[in-house]
Amino acid sequence: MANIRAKLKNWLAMKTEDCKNVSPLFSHALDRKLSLIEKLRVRLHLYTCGACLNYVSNLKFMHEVFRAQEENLENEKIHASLSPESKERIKEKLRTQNS
Amino acid sequence: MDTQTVEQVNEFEATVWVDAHGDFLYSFAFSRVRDQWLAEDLVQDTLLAAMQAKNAFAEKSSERTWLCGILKHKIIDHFRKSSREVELTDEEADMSSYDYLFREEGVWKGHWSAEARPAVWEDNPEKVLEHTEFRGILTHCLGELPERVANCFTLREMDGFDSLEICKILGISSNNFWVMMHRARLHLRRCIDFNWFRKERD
Repeated sequence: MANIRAKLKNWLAMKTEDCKNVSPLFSHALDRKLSLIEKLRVRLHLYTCGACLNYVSNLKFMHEVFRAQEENLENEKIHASLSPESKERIKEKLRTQNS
Repeated sequence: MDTQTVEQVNEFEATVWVDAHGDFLYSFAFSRVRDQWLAEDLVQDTLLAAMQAKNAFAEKSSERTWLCGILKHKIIDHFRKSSREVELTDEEADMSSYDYLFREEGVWKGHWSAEARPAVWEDNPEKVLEHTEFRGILTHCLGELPERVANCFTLREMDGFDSLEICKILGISSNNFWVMMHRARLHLRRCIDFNWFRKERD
């Protein structure tokens, strides 16, 4: 049974849309609602393709990374800083600009 | 209070801001523009503008939120200007440089090539950010994209603008937007995989 399913998936994968064609939809899904047809194309393809399943989960991972990075910034967990020289330079600029 | 004193107060506060919020504002700007000097200039412009608009600061929000709001405007202004200066190049909207990710012939034409086949990323998005090296890779990978494509991506993923707003800021068509986002994700996924996860797997 498992064998038949694998064969069916393989056959479907060969006969239906390829990864290159479907892949823009994985990106679009993160930025807008997909149409019904688009959703079906995604479903069908993901049923047959483990690599694209990984691709989709990697994209979600990246989305989470950027969200977490923003959260870190908001919580003042910051990793970059101005050098003392740069700070002095900016202060000087603020002073002269005002006079 | 005569104007001289008001100015002295403003100036004093403004220089205090550099110590109190400078690193925060710089980190924010750097994550968007990925250029040290540009980020510094944006922080400076922000504080100058804030100094002049001090009266407009209502105590409703914290000082930092207020300053960050000004910085966000400065960053978007910068994107707007730099987009207007340069016409959209073919390179920015061209997908053919990603053809190598997919097989070019055989029954599996159009499917992932063996070398580019996405694998599971065994990690946690929050944990992985704790590694300095990973954060560096993120900046590096964004920097490899054409500038406008990277800006399109960060406006979406960091600032949460929608497609219409981003098209206006960058002066691009909606078709360009969808291509750029797809392109940015294909590249970033590949670049992060190659520089971080692949090394862990091997």
